[in-house]
Amino acid sequence: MGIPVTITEKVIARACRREAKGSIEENLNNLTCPWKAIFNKSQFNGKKKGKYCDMQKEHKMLQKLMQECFLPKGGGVDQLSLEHKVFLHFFVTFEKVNLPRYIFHHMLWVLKESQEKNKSFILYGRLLSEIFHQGGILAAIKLSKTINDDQLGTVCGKYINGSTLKKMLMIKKVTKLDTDLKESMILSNLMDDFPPISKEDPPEVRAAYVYEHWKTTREIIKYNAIPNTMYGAFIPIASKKKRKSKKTTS
Amino acid sequence: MASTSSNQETSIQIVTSDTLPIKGKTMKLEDDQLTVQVENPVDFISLTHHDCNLTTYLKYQDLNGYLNILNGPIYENLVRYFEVRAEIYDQYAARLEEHEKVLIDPSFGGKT
Repeated sequence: MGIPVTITEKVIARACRREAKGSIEENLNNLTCPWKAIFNKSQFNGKKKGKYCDMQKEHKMLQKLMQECFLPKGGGVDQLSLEHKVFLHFFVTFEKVNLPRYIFHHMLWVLKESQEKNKSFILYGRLLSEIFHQGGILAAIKLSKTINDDQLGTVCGKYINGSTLKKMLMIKKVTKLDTDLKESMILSNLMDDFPPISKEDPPEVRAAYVYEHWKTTREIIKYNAIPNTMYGAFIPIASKKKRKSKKTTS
Repeated sequence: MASTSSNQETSIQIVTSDTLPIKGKTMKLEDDQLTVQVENPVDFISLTHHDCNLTTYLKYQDLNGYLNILNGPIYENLVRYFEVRAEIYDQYAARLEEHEKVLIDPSFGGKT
């Protein structure tokens, strides 16, 4: 059975928890539009041929965020397209951008590229997953109990934090904080109420946990419900390497 | 989570009386040939600690909701399965085509 899914600008706006209002510039022509000069003014203090190293630290980071989170593009992160430059200009000059519409257009552009030019990349994996989750597809999968995280290919993204700054050569030393977020904190939606015990634990530990659980919720965890081994570690981090494509026989 | 209300919000209908066939693919590529690019979640406390404070920029853009949902799992195979079957519906183009059809044969007017 298939499930029809419709994604519109409004759906994206709801997933982002933000209204689809603000500025957007579309179909820009590199030769005729004045945006190039405006961007140079806001980023490089009017220098005509500004370089990446002339940019402020915060602006560099904003550019990184734009390429990783807001308007990712398949491939390298070298030269910015004019659309990306305008997007960054809005950020730097405190002009509200219409992010849902930007995302929607970007999504359509990628889909067209794959359908017409066989480009093999998909953007917004997380946003699409969130839309599926909000629509109840994950809940339906969980109810069916036939598909696990391995089959769904569950992964998580890598955090942008102090180490990223070091890799971008902006700081020399990274200090670790207690509040640092880790990838292992991200949990799959399929395992909300997974008991944190397994049959490998000693019987006393199991008994204590079941008793505590009964005291708080008045529910008894049956022996059969306890998994044999601990839940398959953590969700793996997504790799940026291209998947090896299998040769098709046709 | 509350499923009934959110179903209507995201235009995903799971429980229907219709029999829903599995849609055909809309591109030549196979599921496993596609690479899913993943958005990276951001740890702002760590960034601010290392003298890179972006909160003023991002607060102005009202992006907290979006950045929060980035802290979550990605179901790559589900996304791939969806993407190879996705179809673009252009409302403007459809309306233009309808308009042209009516111009050629006025008896089509008002029909859907």
